Amino acid sequence: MLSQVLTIARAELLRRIRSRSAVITAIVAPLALAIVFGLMFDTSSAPSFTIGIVDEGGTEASAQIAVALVDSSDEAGSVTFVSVDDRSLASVQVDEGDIGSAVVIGDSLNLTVLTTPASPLSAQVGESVAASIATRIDTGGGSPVQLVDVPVGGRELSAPAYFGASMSILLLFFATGMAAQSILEDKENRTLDRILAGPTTAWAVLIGKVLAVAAMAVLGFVVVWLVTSVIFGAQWGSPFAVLVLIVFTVVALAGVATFIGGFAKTAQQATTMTAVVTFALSLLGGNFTGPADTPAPLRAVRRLTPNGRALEAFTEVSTDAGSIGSISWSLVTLLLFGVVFGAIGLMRIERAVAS
Amino acid sequence: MSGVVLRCEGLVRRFGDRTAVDNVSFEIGRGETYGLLGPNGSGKTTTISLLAGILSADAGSVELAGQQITTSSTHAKAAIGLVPQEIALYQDLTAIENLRFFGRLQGLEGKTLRDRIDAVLEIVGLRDRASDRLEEFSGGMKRRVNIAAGLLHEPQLLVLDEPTVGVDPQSRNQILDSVEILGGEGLSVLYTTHYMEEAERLCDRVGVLDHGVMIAEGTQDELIARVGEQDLIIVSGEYDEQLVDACSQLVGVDRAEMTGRGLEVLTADGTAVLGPLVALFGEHNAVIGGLQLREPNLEAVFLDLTGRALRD
Repeated sequence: MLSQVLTIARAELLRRIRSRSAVITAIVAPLALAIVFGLMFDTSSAPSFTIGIVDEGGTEASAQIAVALVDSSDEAGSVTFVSVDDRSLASVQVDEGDIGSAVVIGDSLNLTVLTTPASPLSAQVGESVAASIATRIDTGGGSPVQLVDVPVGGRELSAPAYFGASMSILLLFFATGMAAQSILEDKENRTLDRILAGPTTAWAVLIGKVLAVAAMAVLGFVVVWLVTSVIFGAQWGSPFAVLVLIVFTVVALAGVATFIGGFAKTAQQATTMTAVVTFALSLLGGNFTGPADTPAPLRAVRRLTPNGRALEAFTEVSTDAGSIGSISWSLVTLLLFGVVFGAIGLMRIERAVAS
Repeated sequence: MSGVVLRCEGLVRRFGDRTAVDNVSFEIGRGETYGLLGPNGSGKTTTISLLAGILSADAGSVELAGQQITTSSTHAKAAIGLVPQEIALYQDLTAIENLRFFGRLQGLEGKTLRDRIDAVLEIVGLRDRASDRLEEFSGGMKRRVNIAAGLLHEPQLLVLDEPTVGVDPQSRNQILDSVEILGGEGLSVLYTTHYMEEAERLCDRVGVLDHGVMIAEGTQDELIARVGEQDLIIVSGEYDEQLVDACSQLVGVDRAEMTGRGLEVLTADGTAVLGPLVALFGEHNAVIGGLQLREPNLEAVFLDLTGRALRD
């Protein structure tokens, strides 16, 4: 059986390489998308916020707070407090984007935060500052705000690395879905009949085709990894961990794609179903957004998707210098996705082939 | 060694409520070319799928070269060389790449595989096009590569499922010539077709399938004898029931019927009936579009057995 599996895998690879669409799907497209998204969401430099402070109360206490805030602007320049004369001016400046948000200190030290929907992060910073002031006032603390840089990870998240992984994963669904499509095409044009009329079993055909598309998918992912690392200086993390994660991600997505293909009756159906499920999982898994931009409710859902799990693991390896050990649970989860869904998919396809 | 290379007994296959193959039994001897004749939808392809172990039978058995064939058989299937009706090859690969692929799946490797590829390409006359992609071939050439792929592993039984469908006349003749040569060299062949003339040219024995049932089997002479060596007169055109009834009443006419080709008349002596038949047309003011007198053949056999023409 092994020689038949390898014969089928070799022929499938040859056909995929000759087919430009396969090369585009597995290699060119994820690379291009990674570059585009990486440039769009470049987080290599720290974000900066300008928060207006309005002393509306006119009391000694409110003036002290306002002065203290302005004096405590971050030395690194990531948060700058500027004094604004009055509330209406602050409101205009927030609307026009001159400042991200404004904290208005009233006469009884009540705090109002002026925000705009166009700068949600600035709004959060302003609200955090106000909350901090309120806490200090309640507890009778000293200086109302102390800005301390607390690094979240060991490294900055590299946008080309993150979106390189993200876009490769997105297109991996399509690439690995080609195995089921190929089998259904062979069934439609009766090439499969010819194969099965000989000593080759249906399982050898299925495994051979999945092996071929998985190999192509791994190759595509590795190309994206290497190109973004060399040309764009993307920091993916430990090469060994990245390579293992690539393989396990391909296994997971190949399993899910095969599962989807198991419910299709024709190659065209398999293509359509793969596209629909791919986009749904990609939206839920956060492939189109940066890690910080995923709304809180979706973060839990994200972990239930194979692509979301894989992205989390890539992020950990990239930012926290994660090793195999630190992502072991993610690897186990990905393997389970691949084995369980893949087995069900293969059994369904095998039954369809035999009927 | 048994003189029988294929034995099918009581084969049954259903698809839902429809019985595609209904208790079909037949044998093929070593070195024999056996024709499976029947119109489209008669169960020929399903029968082939059963005996090739592609589909599982709901009942019955298939024995090939002394071994039982099922869908899970592997070694036993090496005795069969299947040439499906469709061009079951990869269009984006070259002829030689396709043959290499199918040869390897049959367990051929290295020099043995190379020699066999050369040999089969020689048989089908395509050695000079071996490195061209199949998508560049004409329909007839693709069918020849299709046959070559079935011959690679030197099977004991070559199964050809309507190999000349949609093929130009020149390629068709080349295919028929190849099958004749292979049969002459002692290869057992199962040949399915709905072209009566192909069966008459190639086959030692013929089985006639209709609606999944084997309705007759034998040599061509045996089958033709069933219809009493009758001549077939075909009058081209559309004619009403009154004229058809009148024709069937003529002395010497055994049967008259409207088919897709016109009015068909079965008679023991066509030349004797022709005159009265033409006169009858004159009496009914019917125009004769064309007139053919055919010797008894498998077409007549099928018409006699089913009341329909082979290609209705």
